[in-house]
Amino acid sequence: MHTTPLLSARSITKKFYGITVLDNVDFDIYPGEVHALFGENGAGKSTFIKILCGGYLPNGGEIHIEGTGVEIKNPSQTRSLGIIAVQQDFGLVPQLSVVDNLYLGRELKRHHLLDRKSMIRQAEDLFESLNLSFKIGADEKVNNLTMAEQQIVAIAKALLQPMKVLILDEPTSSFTHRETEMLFSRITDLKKRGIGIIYISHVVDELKAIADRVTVLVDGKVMGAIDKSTDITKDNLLKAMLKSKKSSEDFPEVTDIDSSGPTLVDVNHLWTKSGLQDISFHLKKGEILGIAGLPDSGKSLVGRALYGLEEIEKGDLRVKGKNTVNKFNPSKALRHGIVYFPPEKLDAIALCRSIKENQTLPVIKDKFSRMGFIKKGEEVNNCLEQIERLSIKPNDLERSMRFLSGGNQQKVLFSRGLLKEAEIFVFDDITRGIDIASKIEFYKLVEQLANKGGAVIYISSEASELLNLCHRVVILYDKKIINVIDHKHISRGKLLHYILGLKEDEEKN
Amino acid sequence: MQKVGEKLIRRSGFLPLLVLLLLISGSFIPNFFTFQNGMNVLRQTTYLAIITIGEMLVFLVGGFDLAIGAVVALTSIVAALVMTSGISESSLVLTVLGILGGLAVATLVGLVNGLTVAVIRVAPFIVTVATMGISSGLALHLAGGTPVWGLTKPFIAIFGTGSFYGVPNVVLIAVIVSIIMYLLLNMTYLGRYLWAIGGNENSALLSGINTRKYTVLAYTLCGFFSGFTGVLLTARVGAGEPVLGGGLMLQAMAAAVIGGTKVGGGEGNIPGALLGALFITLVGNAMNLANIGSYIQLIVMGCLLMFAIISDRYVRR
Repeated sequence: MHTTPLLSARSITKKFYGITVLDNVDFDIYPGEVHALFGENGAGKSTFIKILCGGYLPNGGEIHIEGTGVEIKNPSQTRSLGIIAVQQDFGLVPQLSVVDNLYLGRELKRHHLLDRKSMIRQAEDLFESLNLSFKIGADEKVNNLTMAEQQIVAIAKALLQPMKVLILDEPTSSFTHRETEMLFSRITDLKKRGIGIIYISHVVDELKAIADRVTVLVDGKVMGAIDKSTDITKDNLLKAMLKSKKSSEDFPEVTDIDSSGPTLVDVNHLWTKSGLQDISFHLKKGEILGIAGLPDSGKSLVGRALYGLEEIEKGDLRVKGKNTVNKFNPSKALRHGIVYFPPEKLDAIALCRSIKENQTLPVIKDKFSRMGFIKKGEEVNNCLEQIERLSIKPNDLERSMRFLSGGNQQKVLFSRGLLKEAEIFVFDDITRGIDIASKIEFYKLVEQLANKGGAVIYISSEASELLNLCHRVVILYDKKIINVIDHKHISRGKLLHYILGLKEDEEKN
Repeated sequence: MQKVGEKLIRRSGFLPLLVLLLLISGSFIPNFFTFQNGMNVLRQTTYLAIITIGEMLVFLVGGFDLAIGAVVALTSIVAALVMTSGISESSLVLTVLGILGGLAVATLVGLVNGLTVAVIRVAPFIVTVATMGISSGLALHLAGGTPVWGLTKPFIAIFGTGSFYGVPNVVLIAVIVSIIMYLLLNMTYLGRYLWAIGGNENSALLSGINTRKYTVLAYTLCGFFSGFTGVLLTARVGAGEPVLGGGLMLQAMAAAVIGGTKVGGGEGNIPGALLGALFITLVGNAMNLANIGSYIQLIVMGCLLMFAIISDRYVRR
């Protein structure tokens, strides 16, 4: 290609609290092409897109628009530069109508008053040109639409704006074949008009159908670029993803567990209101069971269901032999010996309160109180013990959680579980955003938990953790379990294969 | 300079201002630092202190109660009506029934507030404005628009003018209430739960705490304390007044925030609430003695609340 790229990003680096999320990423987009971005969850795709749209400022690197260097400071600037994005969460206001959303911030006016007629007419013309199989009412409130209809509105919103570069982040997540085809034909039109399209997706078939080039992102680094559309195959994509191998030295050795030991958790054909279908698995004492999958695979829902945070429609959930399906909630789960660590740790801590209070919150009533009154001495001693054991810094019990780093905050949460003397630990993405030293400490702690007679459910999006820390890994796709692999038979390729939902017969070792 | 000022406020709260206020009052008011005047000031503070404790509890769980002033009025009328109803010959019995009746109504309003906010999930602002209107209207209606005279003698003697070796009874009562609440908040798990709910409700839920139950409790206790203040104030003024406690809502909120209670929850304690109430009372006291009209006093109180909230946001962020 000899023309100037519409957008060119060079050596883009982004750090969050000392952790490098994007490492010297190069990416460019030429007029009339579809350049796809492919990678696992956490690879940095969304962060990169946010930088292009002005949501984040990069720590390093440069961006050029049609050859001219620009410093992107905010989203409205990027819009005026012609970079239009359709985010994964659609960015629509649910209580407003379709038309209001389509023109939000860019309303058409006639004599200073809103020109609803013209806006509705333009919107209807656009929908017609999309050749949909259903009609979307211009005055319909967005929260009354189906997910697929909302997705179309989000895309339509972008199409109404003058653009040079269109960014689509998982644009077909709610679509059937029909809508996907419609989108692809639209993309073809846009290509003819010289617009460049950045397309993010984890669906390999889509990439084969629509992309001209693919850049593979792994852990914030560009691991491979496929330049010819004919070279876009599952094999090549997986090959690029597997190029980086994380050292397994960071992890304690996985030893076989006693399979005759007691089963602590037994899930049988569980269906939840939130969409989990026919989930069945068991967890034995001493076991670390990994749960893997894409962000929308339902892996987090499984964790939540085990803690009573999800409404169960049918099925069985037995903890240490007792059926807990009825009116299950966190309080009950705690009584059964389960502790849960949510993926967003800020959800679980009260920032303004002290370390001590956060450590003992679930147990203050039952463990450290006599007739309602807190046994202060005992509380302090136990908390200090935890601070010592987990090397929590600063080691001042009364310090507010605000002053702790992410890793230390996570350790305080961890000590909750230890103080509770829980038997079953459910972790969801606990090492996200934490420095490598703390991560290694966590792996040792998790292993200790299992060795001392507990059991761990380890939900994670990091392949190396799942490969090196877990006895078995349950893989979910589209809210169903598609496979369970033992650590003796697992490999990075197999793991990725199932996570991406590729078919059985195409599995390569 | 800004950083130094920030650090100063952060560490010592508003204590310097309180000391300053005391000094200024002392220099302009004769006999300010005498036992007699001290007791007077404390007696005046009592009413605000107790209702501030109640409002603080609701602040702690991340809500607020705008009906407290109206509940004071309602309590006053209900207590007075029971006391003058003649359902018993004994004035002692009437006194007790009157007090219980007033407290019961106030607690009921608190309970309704709590249930609507925590269980039905309506915003505290709307709920308490509604109960404020209902309570106010009910008080006026029941009273027929005029004060209710004829309160029993024991009532006025014990809770109105009575004192114990020079210390007004109401001050002793306030001290006992404060000690009990201090113990409750700081020495039992109840306090932890309230702070946790306000600090991060989700975190409290994940820790297995029944946040609804404790939120309802906070609002109910607030209603109770409003009633408590209503009973004491009624004894002080000697009659059931349908418009009693008018300015208390604003003053209680200002006192709570000045005393370190965070709007939105998670932080606040009894000593702070008490000192905040003292501060507001002293300001009111000083304005009275300086002959500042009551309308202007209202403006000043409003400004104090504004100032308190802004500096709270600014300092704690």
